[in-house]
Amino acid sequence: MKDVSVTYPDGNRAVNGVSLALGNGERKALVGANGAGKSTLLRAIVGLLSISGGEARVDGIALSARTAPDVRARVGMVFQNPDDQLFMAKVADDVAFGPRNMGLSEDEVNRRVGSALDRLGAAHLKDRVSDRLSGGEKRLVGLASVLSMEPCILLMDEPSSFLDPRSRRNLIKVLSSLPQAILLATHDLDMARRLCSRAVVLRDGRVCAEGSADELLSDKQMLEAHGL
Amino acid sequence: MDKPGFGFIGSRCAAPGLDSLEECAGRGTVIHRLHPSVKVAAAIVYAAAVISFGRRDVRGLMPYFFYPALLASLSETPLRLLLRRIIPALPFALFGGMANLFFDSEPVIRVWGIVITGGVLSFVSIMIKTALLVSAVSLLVSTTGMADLSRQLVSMRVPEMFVLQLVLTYRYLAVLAEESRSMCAAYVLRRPGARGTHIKDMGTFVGVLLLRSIARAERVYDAMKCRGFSGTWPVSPHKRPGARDIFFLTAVCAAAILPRCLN
Repeated sequence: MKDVSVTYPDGNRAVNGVSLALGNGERKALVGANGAGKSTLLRAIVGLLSISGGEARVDGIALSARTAPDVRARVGMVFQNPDDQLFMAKVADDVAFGPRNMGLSEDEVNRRVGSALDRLGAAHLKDRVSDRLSGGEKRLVGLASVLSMEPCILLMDEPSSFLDPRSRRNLIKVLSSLPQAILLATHDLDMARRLCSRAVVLRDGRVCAEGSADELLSDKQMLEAHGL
Repeated sequence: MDKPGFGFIGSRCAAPGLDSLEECAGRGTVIHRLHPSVKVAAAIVYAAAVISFGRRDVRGLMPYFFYPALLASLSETPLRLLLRRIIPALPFALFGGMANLFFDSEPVIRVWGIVITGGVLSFVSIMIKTALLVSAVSLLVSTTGMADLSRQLVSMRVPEMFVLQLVLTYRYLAVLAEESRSMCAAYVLRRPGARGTHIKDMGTFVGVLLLRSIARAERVYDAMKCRGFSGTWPVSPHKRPGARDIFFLTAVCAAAILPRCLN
């Protein structure tokens, strides 16, 4: 992303000239106080919001309204609230939704559903009704529904919200084992430090600091200065 | 003591939502294993037979209680689940049928000295037809599941836009019920002793509920777009119906059409 800006219809510029890069398999944390522009940036990357300035490329594809479907096939977004992510009645149908939209054969769809749920240790949830799952289970199924599309990049918006400590530990373990590049927007600094090698601090839609996650997220003075 | 208020969707906060039918759809009974196409066709034939009866023909409808009763029993669908779908539909039939009581006062039969008018018969007939049709559709969903049902409808050449509307409405109703339940819980906790929503809060409650459910539906739609949804419903082919499926359809057609012909 180079000098990317995102402006809402009311004129509020939520992201202002942000530049960042994410390499293959790299895990980067995006931290910042409420309203810093983390979620807006993630939504812009998958084309849910239009970029008003600058340029973004995903796997060589320049992001625009026209290319958004291609970008979404490469970038999986896991939403903050898993209830928004799960819209089919049953887990298996939800996880199969993305692959079916990609026009894959039913055998391939079934293989991907099984593989995504197995990888997350959630195969036993396959025939369950989505609304009857616990918060931790919903989070895993939400992640599986994205992994079944086999994206090369995962965008995660506050993945530890709604989770108890055990589910959170499990999620960190699962995410650590994934080969995908991950851009993690979070307030959970401990999770960011455990999972990511690099971190970016956002404030008022601008990048204030970028560097090693260990170093950056240990700098209490800097974090406090930026509302964290 | 607090005055009783007006009831509202989800005012019984623990009331199960639409997903209860979906939970039933996950079972593996003989009815669940039938091909979705024959279940859809059977429901259409049954509905057509029920609707085809004359407006005063109450007695002719009686054999048609057999289909939902048998299907519910074979598919192990709890009766209370069906009643939970039928009861909310009855007030609509009640309002629709009430006019008959006043406009059709022609005496038709006498039962134990009481004169039954044509209006009473057509009113009862509307109520019975509503109950039968709602139970047939509920059984179709509870034995097939919305995902399989929508795929089947698309493969039966039902316009995709119609199927999409059906599926999204089904999902939106669940979203609306969820939002309503959480708002109701927050309302009751700050208004101990209240039964339902008080009339003075009703306007705000409905307005906020609508805004919240629209915002939620937009987030759900965003999640769908992120997973490749472009306005068309993905369809995977079902296997072809087998001998058992054909037998079921034939039996239902015979059971639905014969009483109509003999009536």
